[in-house]
Amino acid sequence: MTNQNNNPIRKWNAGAIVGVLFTSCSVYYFVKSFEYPYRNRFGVGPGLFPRWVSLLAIVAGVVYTLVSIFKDKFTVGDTFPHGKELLNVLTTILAILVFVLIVKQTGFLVASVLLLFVLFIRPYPVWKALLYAIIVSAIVFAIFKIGFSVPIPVNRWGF
Amino acid sequence: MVEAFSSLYEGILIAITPENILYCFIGCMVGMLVGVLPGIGPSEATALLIPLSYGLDSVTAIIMLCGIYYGGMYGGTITSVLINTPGEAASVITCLDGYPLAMQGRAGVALKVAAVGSFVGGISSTFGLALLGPAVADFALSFGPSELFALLVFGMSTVIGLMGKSLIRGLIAVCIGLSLALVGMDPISGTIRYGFGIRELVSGLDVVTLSMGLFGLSEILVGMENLSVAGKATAINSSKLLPEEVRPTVMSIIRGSFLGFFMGLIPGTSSAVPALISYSMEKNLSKHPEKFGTGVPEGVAGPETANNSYVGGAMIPLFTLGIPCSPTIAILMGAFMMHGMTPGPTLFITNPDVIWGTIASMFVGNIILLILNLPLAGMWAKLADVPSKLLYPVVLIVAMMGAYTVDNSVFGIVVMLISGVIGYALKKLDIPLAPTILVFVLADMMEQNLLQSLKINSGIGGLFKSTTALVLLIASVVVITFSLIAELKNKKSALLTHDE
Amino acid sequence: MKRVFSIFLVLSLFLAPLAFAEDAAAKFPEREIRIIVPYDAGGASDMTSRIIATGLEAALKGTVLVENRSGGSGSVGMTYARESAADGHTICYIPVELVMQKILGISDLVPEDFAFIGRLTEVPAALTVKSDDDRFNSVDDFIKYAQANPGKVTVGNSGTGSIWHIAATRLEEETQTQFNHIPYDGAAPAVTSLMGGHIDAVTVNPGEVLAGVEAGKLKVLALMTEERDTVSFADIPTLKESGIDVVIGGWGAMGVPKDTPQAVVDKLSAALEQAASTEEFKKFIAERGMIVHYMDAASATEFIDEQAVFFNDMLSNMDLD
Repeated sequence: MTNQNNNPIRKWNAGAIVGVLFTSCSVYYFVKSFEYPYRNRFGVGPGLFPRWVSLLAIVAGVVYTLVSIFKDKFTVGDTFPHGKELLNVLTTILAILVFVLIVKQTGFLVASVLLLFVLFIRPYPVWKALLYAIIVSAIVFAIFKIGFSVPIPVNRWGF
Repeated sequence: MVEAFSSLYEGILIAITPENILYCFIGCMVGMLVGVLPGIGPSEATALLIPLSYGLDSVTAIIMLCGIYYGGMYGGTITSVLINTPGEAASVITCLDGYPLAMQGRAGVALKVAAVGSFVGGISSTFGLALLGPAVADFALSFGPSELFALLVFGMSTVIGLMGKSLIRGLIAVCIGLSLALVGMDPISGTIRYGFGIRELVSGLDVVTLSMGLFGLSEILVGMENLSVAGKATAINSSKLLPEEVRPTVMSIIRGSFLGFFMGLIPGTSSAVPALISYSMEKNLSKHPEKFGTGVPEGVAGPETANNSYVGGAMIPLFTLGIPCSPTIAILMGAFMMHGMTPGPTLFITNPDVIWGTIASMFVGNIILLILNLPLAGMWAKLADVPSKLLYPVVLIVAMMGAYTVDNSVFGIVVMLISGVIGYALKKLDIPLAPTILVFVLADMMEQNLLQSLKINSGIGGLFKSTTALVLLIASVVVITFSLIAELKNKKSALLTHDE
Repeated sequence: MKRVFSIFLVLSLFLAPLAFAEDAAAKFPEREIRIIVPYDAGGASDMTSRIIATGLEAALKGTVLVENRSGGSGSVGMTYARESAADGHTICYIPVELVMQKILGISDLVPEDFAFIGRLTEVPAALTVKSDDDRFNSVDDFIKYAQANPGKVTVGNSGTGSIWHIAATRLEEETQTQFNHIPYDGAAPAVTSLMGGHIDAVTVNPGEVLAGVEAGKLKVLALMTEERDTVSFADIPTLKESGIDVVIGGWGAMGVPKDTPQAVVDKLSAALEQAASTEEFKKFIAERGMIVHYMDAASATEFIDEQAVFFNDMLSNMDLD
C-alpha cells in the first residue's frame, strides 16, 4: 500500500483530470443555460448571467487544463491521499452519507451514535468509542432539541 | 446634538438598571455560546431566541435580543479562528488569518485582537448612531440599484487580492462561486435555474451550509487523514502581539470602524461586505502584503472591527426610517414589532426611552462582551489543544446539526457534505476557498441590482448617470488593474505556481 | 410460555404508540407550533403573523414561533408548509399570491393543498410617491403624466406576479397607461428605493409606507379600496373618487396541510378566532392600513376558491410585464 509505483493512477496528471472535469461541468452549465431566455418581456432574462458565467468557466477550465499539462504538472499521487489516509477520509464521508440516509428512520440519537462510533473506533478502544459516542450524542441532542426547540428527527420511540 | 446627549443620558440610566444589565448579560452570554456552535451565526442565534423575550418588558426584551446578536458575532469569531469554520459569511474573512494564527499557537492573539477590535467597532458605531443618526440616514437612501451594483462590483474587485499565488486557480474559484450563486430563482422573472427539480434548490443554496462544508468539513476531512498526529498546536500558546504588529493592528481597527459604520448605512448589504473590503484595504496598505493569509493580526482585527461597527451603522436606517438593511436587522425589527413598536421616526417620539435605552445598552453589551472575551481568549485558545481524534468528530456532529437547523431538513447536511468534499478537493489542489464563498455571496445581490438598474433606466446608462456608481466602478477597475500588476510582479511564474 | 410472553411484550412496545394517535387532538399542541411566513421579516405578512402568534400562544397555551422562508413570490414558504407533517404544528400564513401560483407558472400550489383555518385581514393597495415630487400632487397628476410618458414611470412592487404588481397593472388597464414595473425582493426594498428617489412610485400596502410618510419622505396619493380608510389614512382619497374603478388588494389567511385531522383543524380555528378578536390585534392591524376582516374556516375556504376563479380569469386576460 505504501509503494507508490504500484498504482498507475497515482502517476496521472491531477491538474489535467480536474481541469477536464471542471471544463465539462462548465460546458454542461453552458448548454443548460440555453433553456433560459436571454431576453424576455421584462428586459434582461434569466439566461444572461448563466451564459456568460459558464463561458468564463469554460475558458478558465481550458486554461487550467493546458497549464497543468504543459507548465506545472502535479500527479494524483502527490496531491491526493492514498492508502490508510484515503481510507479514513472515505470512511468519514461514507459515515456522513449513511447518517443522512437513516436519520429520518432511526432518529437523530441513534444515527449520531452510529456516526460517532465509526469515527471514534480507530483511535480509541471499542468500549471508549461507544461511550464517547453516546455521551456526545446525548449532549448535542439535549442542546438542540431541549435548549433550542429545534425539531430534530426522532424515531417512532420519540428519540 | 445637545438633545441627543441628554436623551443618551436618559437612555444610559435605563440601560444600567440591574434588571436590564442582567438581561443584557444573559443575552450576550447566550449569544456567544450559540455563536460558538459552528454553523449558527448571529442571525440564527437571534431568531432562535426571540421566544425567550416574550415575557419580558419591551425595553428589556430588545436589550436582550441585541445582546444575543452581538454575542453571536463574538462567538462566531471563535469557531473561525480555532477550527476554520465560519458561522456566517463575514466570519469567512476572519478564518483567513485567524486560523493560521491558531496553527502557530497564537490563537490567543487572534481572539484578543478580534475582541478588542469588535469592541472598538461596536462602541464607535454606537456613538455614531447616537450622535449622527438622522443626518446620515439620507446618505443611506442615495444608494439605489445602480449604486449598490457598483458597490458590489467594487467588493468583487477586491476579491482579486485574495486569490493568492495563482491567478488561474483564483479564477476557477471565482467561477465555482458564480456557478453556485446561479442556482435558484432568477431575481426578476422568478424562473428557476439549475434546480434539477429539487424543491430545496428553488431559492438557491444557503451560504451557511455552503461555507460550513467548504471550510469546516473540508478541514475535518483533512484532519481525519491522520488522526494520530497530535492536533495542531505547537508548544507556544501565547496571546501577545509582537511589537511590530501593534501599529498596523491599531490602524486597521481605526479604519475598520469607519468602514463598517458607513457600510452599515447602505441598505441591501450584509456584514460580509465591510469585512471583505477591510481585509483588502489592510492588505493593500500593508508593508508586507504577501504575509496576509499566513497569520497577520491586522488581517483579523480590521475585518472584525468592520463587521461589528456595521451593526451600529445598520441600526440607523432601522431607527430613523424603519428600513432593515440586512436580514438580521430585519429579525430585530420583527422583535420590535412583536412588542408593539414599529421602528421608524415616530418611535423616537412615542417611545424615546426604548430607542435610547437600546442604544445605551449597546454600549453596555459591548463592555460586557469585552470583559467576557478578553480574559477568556486564552481559555478558548486552549480548546485547540483538545486531541483532534476527539475534537473533529464532535465538531462534525455539531456542525451537521447546525446545517440541519438552517431549514430544518437533512438537505442542509447533504449540501454541507457535497461542498465539504468539493472543498477538500480544492484544498488539495491549492485552489483558494475564500474567493468562492465571497463571490457566491456577492453575485446574487449583484445580479438582482444590475437587472433592476437595467430595467429602471432601460439600459446600462443608469450606472453612468449616478456619480456614486461611476466613482465606484472606476475604483473597481483601478483596484483590479493594480492587483493584477502586483500579482504579476510578485512572482516569477505568475500564472501557475505549485507548492512552494 | 416465557417466549410467547416476551414476544408479546416486544410487540406491544411497537404498538403502544398507536394507541395514542387517537388522543392527538386532545393533546394538541404537543410541542411548539411554527407559523411559516413566506416572506422576509418586516413585511405585512410577517407583522400580522407575529401578532397572531402571541394571540395563539394565549389561546392554545403553547409556544408559537414564527419562521420566515421567503422566495419565489411566496412559493418557497408555502411549498415547505404543504410538505410538512399534517399534525397541526406547522401553520402557514397564506397570502393572496397562493391563488396566482399556478396560472403565473411559479409553482404547482393550489388552494386544495391546504385546509384553511381562517382569514384574518384584507390588505389594500395604495399608490405612493415621494413627498417632494412636484410632478405628482394628486392621482390625476400621476395618471396624466403617465399617459404623456408611456413606459417611463417606474413603479416598484414586491416581486413579479405579486399582488402589488397586479394592482399596478390593473391601474394601467383602467387608465390606458403603461408603467415600467421594477420588481424587488419584498415591499420594504421597493419602499426604500422610492425614498431614495430611484423609482417614481410604489403600489404596495399603506402599512409598508407608513414609516416613510411619518418621516415626511413619502405621500400616499390614493388607496385602492371601496371606501376611505378611517384610521391612519383618513384624508387619502380612493381611486374610485377620481373615477378610476380599481379596487384591489391582498388578504392574509392561515392554513395547514390538507390532511391535518379535522379535530386539530377545529382547535386551531377556534384559537385563531380568539387571537384575531383581541383589541391588540385589531389596533395593530388598523394602524398599519390593513383591515381586520375575520372569516372562519368554512367561509375562508369558500372565499379563497372564489378568489382563485377571479384571479384566474383576470390573469389569463391580463398582459403582465
